Amino acid sequence: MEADMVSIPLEAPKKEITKPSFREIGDVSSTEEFLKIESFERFNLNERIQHITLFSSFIVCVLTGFPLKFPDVEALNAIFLLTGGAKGARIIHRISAVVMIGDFVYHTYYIWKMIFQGRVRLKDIFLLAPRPRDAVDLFNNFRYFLGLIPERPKFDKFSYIEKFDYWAVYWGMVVMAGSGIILWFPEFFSQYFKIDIIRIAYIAHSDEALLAFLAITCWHMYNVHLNPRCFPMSKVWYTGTLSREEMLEEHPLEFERIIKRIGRKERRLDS
Amino acid sequence: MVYAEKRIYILLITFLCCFFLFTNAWGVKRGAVMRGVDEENCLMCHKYKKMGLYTKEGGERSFYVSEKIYAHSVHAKVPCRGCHTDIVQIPHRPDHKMVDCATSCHMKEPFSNKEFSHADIRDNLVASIHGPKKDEPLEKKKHKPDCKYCHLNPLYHYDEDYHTTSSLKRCRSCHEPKGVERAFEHMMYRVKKRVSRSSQEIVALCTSCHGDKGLMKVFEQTDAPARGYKEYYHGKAVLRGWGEPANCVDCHSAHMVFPKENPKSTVHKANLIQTCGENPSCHPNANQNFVQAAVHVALDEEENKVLVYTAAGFTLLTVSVMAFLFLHIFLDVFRQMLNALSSWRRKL
Repeated sequence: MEADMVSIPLEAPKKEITKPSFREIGDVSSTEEFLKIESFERFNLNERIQHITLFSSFIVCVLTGFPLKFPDVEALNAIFLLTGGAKGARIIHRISAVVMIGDFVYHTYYIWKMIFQGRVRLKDIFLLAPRPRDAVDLFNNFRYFLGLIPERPKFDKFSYIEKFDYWAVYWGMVVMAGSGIILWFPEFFSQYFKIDIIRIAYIAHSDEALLAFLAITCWHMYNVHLNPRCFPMSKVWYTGTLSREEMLEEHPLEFERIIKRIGRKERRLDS
Repeated sequence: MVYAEKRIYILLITFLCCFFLFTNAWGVKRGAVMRGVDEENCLMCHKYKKMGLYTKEGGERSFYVSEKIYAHSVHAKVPCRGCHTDIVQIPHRPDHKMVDCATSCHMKEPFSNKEFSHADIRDNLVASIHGPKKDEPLEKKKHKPDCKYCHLNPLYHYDEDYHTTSSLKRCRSCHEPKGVERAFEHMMYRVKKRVSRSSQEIVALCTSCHGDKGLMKVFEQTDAPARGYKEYYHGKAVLRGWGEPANCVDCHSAHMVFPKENPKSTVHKANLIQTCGENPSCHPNANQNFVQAAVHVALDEEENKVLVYTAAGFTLLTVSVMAFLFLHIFLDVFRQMLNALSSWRRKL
């Protein structure tokens, strides 16, 4: 009887444990080990949550704000039917604005914390700041577009395209939050200004909103969704990691720099 | 299973029947209130919908009076001849005088026992900017609005309001019922039946003249204030159907409209803080800097250069940034298409 029984494995075959993605240079000990790594962490969980908070509050602010900016567009009435008219939309707009400003303040705090705790080298912080190399990259990228040079310029951790996105949001946040708070408490802020600060804030809020909306829907949507290089979507916003192919194509200079640093570390250990 | 399903259907049908019965009963109750005063039976002729005449200009004029609408209007208790005073016989001539709102008509003032009339408020209107002035040319005079231009006396919304009914109970606890009820109903008419115009309708009414460029030229004015109102927060929120932000009448008042240089005007420099802060849900903390806010400014006809340059700066920024971004995107797509095409050719 026992011989007839088919042996059924009680335990499912163990999955091969995927290697953790590369975070810091301290994680690897040799160049060979580094070259075997398949995924590279670009955004940690905290940063990904910051991005999700930012874009969801941005979408809510756009949806509740634009029907008021364009009062003649009949189709946008549908949004106000959901929010309970302009009165309800105003409350929702302010709640999501507070969330967005909180996210912005937290992000600034987060960056400075990273610098002071020494988790990021001061040199690497300037990778995010605009620098002369970006102008050169832009010039070369245009030359590549026109077929004057065969290769795309090599980008570091943040290309000028991504830097533009980042600093556009930064500038937009300052303008939108500042003018929005003035419009929220017009009686209070008008005490301190001789000029018509309310109308100026109104113009700034309204026009900057349009610019931010257009920049996000055209530039950001193109670069992370519609661009043939990453169509239909760049998954880095929820996985937080890049594969080696993506890393080599989009951020080759970062890859080279990490290899150089590991080599230097190896030499130091050898000596 | 089948039983449970059946039960759900029975419940649903019962619910729907109850719902329709309830709404029908409500509707019958609403429709049942008909209390127009037609002692002299004018509706004998005027109830016919086709009653009217062709004017010399070729238009049509209807003399039809809807009893249902009239019975719910603000003048429901005034007989026809209370206003159409020059009619003395039936059938009357078709070319009788226009109704004058300053006529003493239907009821007596409770204390002085004088005949009631709208003459006082009419005099206010005549004194304001909207009243015809003696030395004005006819062209200007004929465009000035009279009482009936705004007060069309239509039925906007009939609704029994329980708040006013319950407040009336309080009055009755001391006062004799008949007189006080009548006075209260009369005073509360607008609140109770909500016959006043909505903010949107007020803006539409005022801009029917003030948004007309040609007509404003007759008065040496422009349509910039009307356009400017719709470019700013108050106007935009009102256009989206929210009643609370300020409409024209909230700040300029309905009858006492004067130019802002006139100290009697609600929008004169000295009165602005009071006007903006009068309603506690508007701007009770208004100050001298606050009231200079440009609520009416159409930016294309503005002299305040700070606002114009701010707006122009943002427009320039938006246009140049977007032009650059589109150029970049277009060239990127163009190059990637060429790359794809050449690699496809190589495969062939």
